[in-house]
Amino acid sequence: MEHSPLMFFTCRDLARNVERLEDSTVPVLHRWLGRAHLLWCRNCSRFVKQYRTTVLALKHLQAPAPEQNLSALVAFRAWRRRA
Amino acid sequence: MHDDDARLVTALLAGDEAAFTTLSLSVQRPLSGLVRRLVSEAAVEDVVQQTWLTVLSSLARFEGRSRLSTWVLQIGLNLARAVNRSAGREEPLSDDEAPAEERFTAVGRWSQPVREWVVSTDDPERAASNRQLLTALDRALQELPEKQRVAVTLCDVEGLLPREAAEVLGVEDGSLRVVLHRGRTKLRESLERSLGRV
Ligand SMILES: [Zn+2]
Repeated sequence: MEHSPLMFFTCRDLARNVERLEDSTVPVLHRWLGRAHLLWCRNCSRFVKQYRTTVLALKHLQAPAPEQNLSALVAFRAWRRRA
Repeated sequence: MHDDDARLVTALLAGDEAAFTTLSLSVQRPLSGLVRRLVSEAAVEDVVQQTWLTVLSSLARFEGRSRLSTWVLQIGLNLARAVNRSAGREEPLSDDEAPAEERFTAVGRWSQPVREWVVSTDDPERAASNRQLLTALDRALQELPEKQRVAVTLCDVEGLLPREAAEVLGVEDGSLRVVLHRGRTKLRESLERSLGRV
């Protein structure tokens, strides 16, 4: 199924290969067939939008960068003293 | 060993604090992010500090089979797992569990409609910062099987490349992609349960 023209044929295949819809290593024709599927299938079109939203939203879960790496630095100085 | 890593290891072994700052600044964020997803809030700081101590004391044995930064994350992951084991923390579900195939009919069509969310996804970029969605997503991520949670946290939350996350988990690139896809699919399903219009 790797690069089969049917990789986006059924809804199950499309959901399974959703990451490959925009993958430039997948032949253009196959991706075009995927886009055509999305045009007529409301469920897959919703699925893809929700999947992409999910992946994008995960970025927002990143904690703010620690202002200083105090615990790391404490560990380093303790190790250096011992070494 | 990668040239940059070799230079960094030599400087670190000589006790160079600036070299350590370079390393810790590049890894501290994904390391804390990863550990925070694995152990209880109270144990995070300890595991992170223990990771650095283990890294430093094992540095002379670093063989450079992976990048130094992914090696630090591997050590953090192993320590977090050890803490959970000794605390008897139960891990949810099994890693092998594929996303719900029962959503599809025998011919591969959706068996029930994919429900629209109360948050519009017409502009995924905008929907992705919705507070209600993020709260539900945060909880859903916490409930993923461990390997999926690690893959999703490293790649999608912390922005590592799939290849780097595969190194941290000690799996092939191909299986990392499968684990990542399953995790993302489960998260979407979870969001459909929390945010789907009835
Ligand atoms: Zn479909």
